[in-house]
Amino acid sequence: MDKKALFGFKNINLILNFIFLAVVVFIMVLFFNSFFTVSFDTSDAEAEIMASRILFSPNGFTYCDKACHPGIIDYDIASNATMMNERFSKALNYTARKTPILVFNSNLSDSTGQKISSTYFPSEDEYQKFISLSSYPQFKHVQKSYYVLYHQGNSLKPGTLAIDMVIEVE
Amino acid sequence: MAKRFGKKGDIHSILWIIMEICLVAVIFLAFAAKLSDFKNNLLFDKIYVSKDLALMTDAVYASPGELSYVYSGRIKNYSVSFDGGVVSVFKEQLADPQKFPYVTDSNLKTDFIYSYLLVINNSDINFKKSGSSLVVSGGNVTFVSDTLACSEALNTKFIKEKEGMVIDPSYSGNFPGKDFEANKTWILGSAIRALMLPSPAVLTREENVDASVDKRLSATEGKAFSISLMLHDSADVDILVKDDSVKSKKLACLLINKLSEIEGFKRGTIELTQEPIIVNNKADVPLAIRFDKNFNFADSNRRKEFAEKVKSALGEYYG
Repeated sequence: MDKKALFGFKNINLILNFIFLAVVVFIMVLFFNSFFTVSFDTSDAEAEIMASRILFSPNGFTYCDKACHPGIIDYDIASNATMMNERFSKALNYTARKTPILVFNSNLSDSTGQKISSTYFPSEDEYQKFISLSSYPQFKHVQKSYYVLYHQGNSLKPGTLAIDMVIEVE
Repeated sequence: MAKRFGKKGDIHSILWIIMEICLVAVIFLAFAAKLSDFKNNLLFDKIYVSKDLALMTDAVYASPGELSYVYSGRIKNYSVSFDGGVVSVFKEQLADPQKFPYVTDSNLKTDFIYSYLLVINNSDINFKKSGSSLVVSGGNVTFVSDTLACSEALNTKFIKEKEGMVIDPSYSGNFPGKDFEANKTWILGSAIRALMLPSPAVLTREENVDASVDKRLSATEGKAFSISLMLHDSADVDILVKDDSVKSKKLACLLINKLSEIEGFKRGTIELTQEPIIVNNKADVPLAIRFDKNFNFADSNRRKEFAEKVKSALGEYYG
């Protein structure tokens, strides 16, 4: 090998050495970084709070006349998809996100277990899409069932509200 | 290697060693900050505080009725902002925030007027939900969400157009006037000017010299950014700022953060307005600092402290 060729070979060798060193260092950074990851799982709390918000917030399913009555469901809201969507799109304002992070299907049943209404937020299509994603760790699928009174017409009736919810967690 | 390749080989070897040292230095520097945070438990604390506050906010929104809750816990010497559905937690310097989102409720949003970075020094945060409003207060200042995103305003970069700063004590009449209340703004203005002379601050009123308010402000029109000092009775410091000016918002955020560091100041607010900020029914300024009329004007140290904070904010504004 003459001197020129030797010089070219050495340059290429130098570059390869440097790339190899960079790759090794990058792997080391990733390795050490995995130990520095400090976090804790709050997905259960996030889901619980959101379920409470849907049920108990004055701007959720709660029946309100002059005052709001936590635990009493407004049948008009729970049974009318348009009214429910209008209410929840205001009450759940995802200002930090461009897309919603919560979908749910609510089923209201009477005391005999007969389903009397089933509604989706924001839509059944969105709900089905999120359900299909719920196996991924950034989504939490939560099913809740509450004994409630629902206000229909001028009377209060006992029933069950089942909420099937998928929430995107941090 | 040197024996095999001679002098050129030596140069390459040296080059190689230098590159290795550079690479190691870069990696070390990249890790140093993170290691320091890790050592001081900062990462964990910031994540904890941001998540806890965001979940707390969500829980308050979820409450069925009126609610008052005092959050006291690990918040010590952190700065917290509630901007646009995100809790950001800072440690001392307003950099590298830890963020966690919360979900706002538009039904309550109409009563959210102010928003800025909340400096908390070993204090509680109070959540108060009543009627159609949610107010979060604590530390040195009070925050009411969601109109002005200070973290965004503070990060806004722009080309500086105006070199000077006009500080106008907005009392009416001649100085020294009989009205001590009116003279208070002059006293503070003087304190600020004394610290800032020869530039960039210009005080529009000299002792025994007076001009009408429109003359005072128009004298420097186009050359300087005007702020007005006013008296107020509802907060320690209240900054009134034009909603359409990003620069004014940035200055307002800088001012409120600096002024909130003054010992004893309990509350401060930023109020956005689309209306002209009128001084004495005449001139219009982009920003006014309104401070508590019970401020201890007789205490020169207090005046100096106030002036230093204003100076510091203006210094940061002008970079």
